[in-house]
Amino acid sequence: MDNNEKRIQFSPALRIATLSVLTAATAFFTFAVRIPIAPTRGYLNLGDVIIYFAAFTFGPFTALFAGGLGTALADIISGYSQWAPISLVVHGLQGLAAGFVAGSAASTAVSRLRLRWLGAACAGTLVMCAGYLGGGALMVGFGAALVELPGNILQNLAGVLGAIPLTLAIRRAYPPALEMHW
Amino acid sequence: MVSGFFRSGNSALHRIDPRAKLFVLLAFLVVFFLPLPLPRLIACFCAAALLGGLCLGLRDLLLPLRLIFPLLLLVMILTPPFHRQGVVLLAPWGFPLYTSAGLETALRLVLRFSGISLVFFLYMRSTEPEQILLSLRWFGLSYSLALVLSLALTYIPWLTRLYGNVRDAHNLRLAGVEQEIRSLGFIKRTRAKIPAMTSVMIQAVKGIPVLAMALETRGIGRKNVRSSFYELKSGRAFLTDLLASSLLIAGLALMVVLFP
Repeated sequence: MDNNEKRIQFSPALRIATLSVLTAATAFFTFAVRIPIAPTRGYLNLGDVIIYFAAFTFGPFTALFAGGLGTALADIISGYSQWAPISLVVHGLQGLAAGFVAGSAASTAVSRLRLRWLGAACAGTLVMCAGYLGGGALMVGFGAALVELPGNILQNLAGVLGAIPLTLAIRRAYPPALEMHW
Repeated sequence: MVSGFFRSGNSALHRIDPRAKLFVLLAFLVVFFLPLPLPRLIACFCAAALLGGLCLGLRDLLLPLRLIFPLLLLVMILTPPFHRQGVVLLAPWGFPLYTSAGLETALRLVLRFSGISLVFFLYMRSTEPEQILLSLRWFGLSYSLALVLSLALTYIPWLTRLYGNVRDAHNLRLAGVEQEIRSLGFIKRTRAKIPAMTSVMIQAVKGIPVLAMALETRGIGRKNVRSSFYELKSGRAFLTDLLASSLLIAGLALMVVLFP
């Protein structure tokens, strides 16, 4: 069997299925799974874990749509639909930036991937924090938006800490996922 | 699914065509972002509140405002120090912290954010998710993207059940350790969630080709034009709703321009 026959054909149906499942996962882990932060009595959500996981495994454009649509859906479902347009753009761009920097994970050693993933995490964090600072300044003013900045940085840290073991686990458990890179 | 989403009813807002409602939502958003004098902004907010109160009731009207109340307090406290022009109102140790301009800016932001939250809530509360998707389709959203959203909404309850089962199975293995996990820092608590998350995501990712096959048997991916089982009617009712929305938007525009 040659390489062409081994590769998954990334048909429109497969693309739609990938985006749907990852969008649902991003939305679910954003609004349903939360980690309390004792000092501030706030919460971190794990949506960024799925966004970074989508960027590292499935590529920039999958992360763009899954991250943007998933977080917007989560905002609507949890009663904060006023933030949905901002989340759509900011988290979408976060996924896109992280995916471009991470590159394709197929046929690449894990040791080289870790450095790329670190770069991708920095790019994603920068885009997400800057986006929410700008969007938040527009909605609630610069002062209130600045207060959210440490929380956003923590959230990205949690996202990367979760995404790396998740990506490695999926690589082992389901290698064809690496062929669904977009 | 949760409080921010649709609740069925028979109010005027529920009966209006979702496309017409989307126009009104956009008009309110534009108005709230305009640099209007404070009285006009208050008038626009009151207009939205009146619409919501009459159609959905006081309880539903207060719900979005209760959700954002802590953030509104934060805005009132943190905005004035960044705008220190005008008459000084509070100057601890001689440093002008709160001024009239700062308070006005804070009020403006509070009204803007409250107004935007309110109109979004009214739209989502009175429009079924399928109607929202169909109206976005009518406005030009691609079939594929609408299908992605529709499938994602279907998958979320499945993921909820799967995560619940996986988390319970993990908790059985970790019986007695949950209390210790709760006392750890947030990094360790995040890492404690990863095993359950990994199990859920493996199941989800393995299901992607199965979903793709199901979509292909329904003709997704072929070049023929897709038809829709459900469509929004564009008859007399839609035109009436569009006219009513246009009158509302015109009234809003007049209020913005003419109100002293």
